Amino acid sequence: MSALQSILDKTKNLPSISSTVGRLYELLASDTAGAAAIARAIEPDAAVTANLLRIANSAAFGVSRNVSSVRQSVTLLGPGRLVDAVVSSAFRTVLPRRLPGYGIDAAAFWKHSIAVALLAERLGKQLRVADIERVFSAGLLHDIGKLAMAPELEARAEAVRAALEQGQQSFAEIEHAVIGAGHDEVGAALAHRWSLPEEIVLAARWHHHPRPPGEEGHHAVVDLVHIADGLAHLLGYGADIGELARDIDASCTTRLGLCNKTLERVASEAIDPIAELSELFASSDAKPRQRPHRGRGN
Amino acid sequence: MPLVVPASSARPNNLTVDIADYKVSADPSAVLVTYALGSCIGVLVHDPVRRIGGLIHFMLPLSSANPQKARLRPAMFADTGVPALFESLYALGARKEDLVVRAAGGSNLHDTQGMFNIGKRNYTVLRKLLWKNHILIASEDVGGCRSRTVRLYVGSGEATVSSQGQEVPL
Repeated sequence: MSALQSILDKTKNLPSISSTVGRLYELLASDTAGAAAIARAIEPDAAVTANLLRIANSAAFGVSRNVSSVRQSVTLLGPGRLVDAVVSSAFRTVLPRRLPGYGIDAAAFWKHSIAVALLAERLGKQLRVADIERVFSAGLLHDIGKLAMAPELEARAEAVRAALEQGQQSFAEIEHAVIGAGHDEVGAALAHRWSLPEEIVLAARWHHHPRPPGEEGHHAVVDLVHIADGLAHLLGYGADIGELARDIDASCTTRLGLCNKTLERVASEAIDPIAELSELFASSDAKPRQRPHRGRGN
Repeated sequence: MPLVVPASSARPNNLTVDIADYKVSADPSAVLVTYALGSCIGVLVHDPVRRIGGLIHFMLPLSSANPQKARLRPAMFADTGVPALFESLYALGARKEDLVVRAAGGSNLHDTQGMFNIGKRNYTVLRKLLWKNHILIASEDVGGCRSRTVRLYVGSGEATVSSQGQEVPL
């Protein structure tokens, strides 16, 4: 059995993303569902609803008045933003406290995911890229494969560390070399299993190696997530064991027409919303410190 | 606005400096700390005579990238943030001739190329800025592709950098 297949078999025990997400995508695709029907699809899901109200009230999601019900968040956010908020809420509920093999906790993983979602979305807007309405969710979920890979990586921690110390390979290459599969393949398989839209599957699969136009797997959303992922790591959002051992595909920046100025401007504008959304769940991330003599960070 | 802690505070006190922020302190029990410096640079400044310290975690080299943000958050950029940090230290009584300046961060991605060289450009602008003002860097840990955390102990002036689980003097 391949390493990928064996990892995927084990993921049957992982909590899967709420089925509310899939139902919401279906409803929105049907074009006939009204706000009330959409709200009714979300409300029975208590975990998602609780997170949704927090997210819908954040300044980063741009609603100026207080949102106190699911129905209200449906009408005030509008369909596009609502999906982003529901996906964020559902994603948040499946995060484990720690991702052992990657050396990060839920708070850092969430922060990195939020940073990539916001940076990709803002880069796309600034560069006026077409057909990217799902870029936020694709950015948010690009690393979901790590949820399943973490125990595998933990078991081979010595080999991973040794390869990183050599400094020859990117972290994605090391994963493939040591485990025989990467969080990119695993993530795409999970996204597919959870019936998420194609862009999200593609971003999970190709965020380290975006495909050129004309080849299967190419999508502007993937290009944006690739750039945003590199930028988020540069800026220190979610420093994990792989740290900065990653490459940027130059053809991707050319395709997008990205320049220094845009990159820096987007980064400078994004840090406040990133801080706000990463702090949203800070109280639930807080837990008694087991080893108070050790600081966080790395 | 930077947080200024009065010298009267008695218990040990960790002051976390976020990205695009700086803090100064004249409290000998204060420890200034900033986490996860990637391409960003942390500049640690200490006056050992008056036991005053400051730390900035700047993100980008030049404020021309976003002048409006620079007015709101000068600490985001090297060219507006570093002078602001020094001004705040002088306001607490620090003297230029006694300052010890250290720097850490400025990492790059594995494959460094043009536009993603933010770390390298951050370092170049910082060097130029300090050089123009006749300020020397006493020690530094800059570049590579590591993520770093730095600490400055205001009382002793001791500074550390930690990366990949190891903390060493800076």
